[in-house]
Amino acid sequence: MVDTPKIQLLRSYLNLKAKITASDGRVFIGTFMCIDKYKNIILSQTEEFRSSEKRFVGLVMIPGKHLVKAEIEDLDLSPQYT
Amino acid sequence: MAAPTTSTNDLSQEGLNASIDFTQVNLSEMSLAETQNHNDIESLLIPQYKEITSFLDEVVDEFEIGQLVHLESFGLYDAMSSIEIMDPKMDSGMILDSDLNKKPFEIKAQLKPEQVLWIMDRLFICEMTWHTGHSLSQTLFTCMYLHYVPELKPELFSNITDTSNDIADLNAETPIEFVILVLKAYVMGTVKCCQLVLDEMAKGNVYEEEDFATNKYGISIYEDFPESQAIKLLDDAETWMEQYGGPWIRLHAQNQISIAMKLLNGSQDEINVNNTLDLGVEVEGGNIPSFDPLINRKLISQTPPRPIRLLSAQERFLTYHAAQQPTPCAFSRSLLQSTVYTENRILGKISVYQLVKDSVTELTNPPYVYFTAKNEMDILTNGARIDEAKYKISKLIHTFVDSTMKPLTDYYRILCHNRSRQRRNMCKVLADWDLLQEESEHLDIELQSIIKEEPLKTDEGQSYSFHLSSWVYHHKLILMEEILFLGFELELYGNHEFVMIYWYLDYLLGVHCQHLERIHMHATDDRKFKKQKSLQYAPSSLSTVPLIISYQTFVVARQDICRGIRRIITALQKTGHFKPPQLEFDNESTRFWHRFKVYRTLGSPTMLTFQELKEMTQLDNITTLDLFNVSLRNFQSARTSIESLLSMKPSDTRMEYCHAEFIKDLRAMLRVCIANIVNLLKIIDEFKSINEPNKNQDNDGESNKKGHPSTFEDPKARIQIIKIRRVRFDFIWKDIRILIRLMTI
Repeated sequence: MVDTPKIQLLRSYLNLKAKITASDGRVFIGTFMCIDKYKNIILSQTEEFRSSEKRFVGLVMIPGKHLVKAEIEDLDLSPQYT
Repeated sequence: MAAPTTSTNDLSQEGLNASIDFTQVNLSEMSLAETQNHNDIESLLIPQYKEITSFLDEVVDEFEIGQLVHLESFGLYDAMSSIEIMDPKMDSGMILDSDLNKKPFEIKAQLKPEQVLWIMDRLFICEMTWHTGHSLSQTLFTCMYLHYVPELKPELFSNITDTSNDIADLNAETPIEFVILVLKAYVMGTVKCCQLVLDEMAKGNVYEEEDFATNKYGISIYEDFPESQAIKLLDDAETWMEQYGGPWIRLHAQNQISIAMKLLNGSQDEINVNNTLDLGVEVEGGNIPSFDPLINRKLISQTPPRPIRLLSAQERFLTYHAAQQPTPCAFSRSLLQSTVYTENRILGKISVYQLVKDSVTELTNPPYVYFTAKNEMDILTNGARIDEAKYKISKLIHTFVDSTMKPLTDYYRILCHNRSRQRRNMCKVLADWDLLQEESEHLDIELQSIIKEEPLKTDEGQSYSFHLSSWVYHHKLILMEEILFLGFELELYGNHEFVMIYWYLDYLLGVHCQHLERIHMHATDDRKFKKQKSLQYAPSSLSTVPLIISYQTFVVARQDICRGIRRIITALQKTGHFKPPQLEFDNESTRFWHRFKVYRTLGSPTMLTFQELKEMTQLDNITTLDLFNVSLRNFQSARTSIESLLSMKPSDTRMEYCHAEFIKDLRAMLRVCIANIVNLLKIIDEFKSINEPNKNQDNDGESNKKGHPSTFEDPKARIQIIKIRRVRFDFIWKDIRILIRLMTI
């Protein structure tokens, strides 16, 4: 398995909060668990947001082809945590 | 490489701390109940995100095919249990095209009578589908009216009629009573039935989640709404229908309502459902959605919905009535158990003592004094003399009944489970019956000494009657046979094991037959009446004789069938048509040990060994033709036995209350015999033509083609074997018959 600096950086994102926007406009916020070559992402303890509606959906896999936007918790920009 | 990893850990640790802070703040906010501030603080606490969409695109390019970046603790197995978003089957939050076009449910919709009828039909179908084991969320709960029943009130429609003339006109055609009275009553009736069924299921008679789904998903099914009120609603609806309903709808909708009423009243009558379906075909108007098949999405469930097919309209009636179908629904099986045995009473009124007494008397005809001693004791309590012997007998019989109670009632309960569960539980209770047999043998010996029974003199020496233990042994043998027969039905055995199983069944049935013969001998023992008059025997022993004979004939018929099949298979093995598979990890003696493991611990009958199997099924010195011939004779004699059973009077076989089912079973067995006889005759014919090759030498090619072992009738022979597996030797009716008879007392 290759291990480039970028992959290492990506690995450092594991276990952080991720916010994924799916193609139908829903937003999923959960813990980043896993990703593969096709950008299929698995989040755990996920909450689903559709505009103001919110529900708990648990362990979900968002297929890469439905991924519109991916965000990850930015620890540098969250000074209140440190 | 190590450095970044460490820092990640630290950071994530901090992230964890932060989230704890978050909860604390949140909690304090909650306690202050200052919602305005709460929103501000929440927005402060939401972590800052940075976008990595394009970074992801770049980084996955560097991935090798199949490479994953994942947490150490997170494996492929965990990944498999995740729910795929945007997959219509798994993702309940996805908006489907059909959802977009769907109109919201309108409770105020003015339904035509046909539409009401359609909803009622559909609801009934849902209910029956639920009974076949599907979840409420995919069946009954899909009916939107079910969720809004209490809102169906006259006031709901009064506004509309006041404001709009158009609707008032429409109203003349379709009175709102169809909705607020008839539909409401029907839906409420269904809901209450559902409640009653759930109550029945809560008794735990059948295994929940195995055949039946009881999860209510936290939805109220109006538990507080009294049943009497629901019945009143139905009554009102019926009265209204009689007075105002249109002529055709009166006939049909009313019928549906009366079904719901009968169910609710717990009526045991067979409900006569006229199929109203053809008249209620009016499919609901496309603009009035009353069912939402996707309601499941709104409910909290641990399991994703399963693929479901609502029963067709014809099937629903079938499931509803056919308690004797191969798979009766869980509810009727549970209800049967509750009816048969609740609170130590059979059918709510007969004691187990009475049941055991009747059952034992029916089979072994014990001395009259056995079961009457107790009654006499009760009468004589006030100071009169107590017969020492009778006192003892009464005590012993009570011991017997006490220990019989559990195995016997367990046995009836087992018959109400699904077939796989039946077999499993039968294996479990077999040990109880064995213990009971041993215990009752001791009791028999004591009873013999009290009544000074004189043994019958037979060729093999003295023979005592052993009334109680004979009865127990009879039941134990039925259990043992049934366990093996159920194995065929449940397809537990491989084809190559058939010889072994049929051989063992042959043995068990043989033992059973001998045992019945013994009972017969003692039951017809005339000396009882001449001697020992002091102890009052039953007036006649003859009533039990036809029953014993019918049992015996039945056992012999089964034995003959088993033998016949075994011989066919052996013969086919000899001709090379039936080849046992060469299994690498298979050991025949180990398999034998496992198949009959439950019989190993039993006191009787003697466990056969693998050695015996090998010796007894070793038929090298018998020719294939002989085997076919003997097999033919087996089937012929089985046929004779079954035919004689068929001609017996229902009162003799004690099948008065389930004669039709009994006949059905016998006919199935008869069909197996006849089909096998016909095919065996063909096989034997062809086989003879091979063994006399000289005659056919002239037209060599043709006869070889026809008669060569590798071509002759092989598929047909195989079909017969398969057919036999399908035959169910169903004992359930035989046993329930006793109970039904008791019910009519």
